[in-house]
Amino acid sequence: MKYQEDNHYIDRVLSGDVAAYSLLVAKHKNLVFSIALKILNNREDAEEIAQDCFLKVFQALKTFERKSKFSTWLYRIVYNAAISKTRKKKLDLVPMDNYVIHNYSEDEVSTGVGEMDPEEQKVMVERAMERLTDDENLLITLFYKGDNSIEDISNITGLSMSNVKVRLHRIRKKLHDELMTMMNRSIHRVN
Amino acid sequence: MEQDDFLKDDFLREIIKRSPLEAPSDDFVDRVMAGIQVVPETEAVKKPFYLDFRGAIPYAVIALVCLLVIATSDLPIFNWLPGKDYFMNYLLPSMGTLMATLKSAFATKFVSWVVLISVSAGMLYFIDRLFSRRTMV
Repeated sequence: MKYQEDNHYIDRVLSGDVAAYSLLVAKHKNLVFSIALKILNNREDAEEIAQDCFLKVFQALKTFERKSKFSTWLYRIVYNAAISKTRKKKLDLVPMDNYVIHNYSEDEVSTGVGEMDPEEQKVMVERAMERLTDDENLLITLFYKGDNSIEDISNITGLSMSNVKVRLHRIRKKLHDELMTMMNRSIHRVN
Repeated sequence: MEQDDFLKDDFLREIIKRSPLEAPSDDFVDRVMAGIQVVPETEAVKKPFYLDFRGAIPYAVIALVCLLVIATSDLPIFNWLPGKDYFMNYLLPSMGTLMATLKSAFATKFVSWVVLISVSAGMLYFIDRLFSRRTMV
């Protein structure tokens, strides 16, 4: 289903068309649920938090000032609610030296993975993402899947923009390395 | 800058986007909408004007005390204040009498503890009442 801009639905809800809110929920439910799930690691809790947040957002919709994007506002509410639920203070900061960066070139990875069929690519990427920590997975989800900008992610998570940049850079390297290692393994297996 | 490379890493974006997001249960939207029907929309309760006025009382008391302290200080710049002479020459000595009376109440050890605790508790209660604003829910 092709959705319209968030503001379109918000205007409809504010003018009394409550049913329009279901479209807003349907549009954002997967990313909202994914954010909660990455933090809570429990589907039931994640659904509960996601549901509560959508209810709270509905009640507070009148107060939404539209200074930021609706999605950023919504994701920040979910992020904070999930963090509060886990009593986790913030994203864990792992120093750069905690893992070895092999520095495979982008071309090596994109050529290797690019030659695989889409289904194989999907499985490999999913496996590589499973190797990331929950926090890393959350940032990748927000950036690549949710199409959020660095500034949006900074607003959602409360991390500084430079910190988000550094961490995304590090995660990207890690993903490249994971993909390359997996590819090498599968080549050895074939040989 | 090398760290910004990921911003234009379309390849990674492309393959990551192919793996779907986690999805909640199928009836998720229905449950949210059912919750919306149940929860009545809350409206901000309008405060009566006298509650807003009452909110300013603690600050007015603090301002008055500060003004009294400053006005009765020895600083010559406050000499122009009307009634200062009267305050210094008559009111302050009578306060001294009051203090002397209070001092006598502390003469006995037993009485002084009782008075101290009562006065402290009373003051705490008074300050608490003064500063805790009652809001209508």
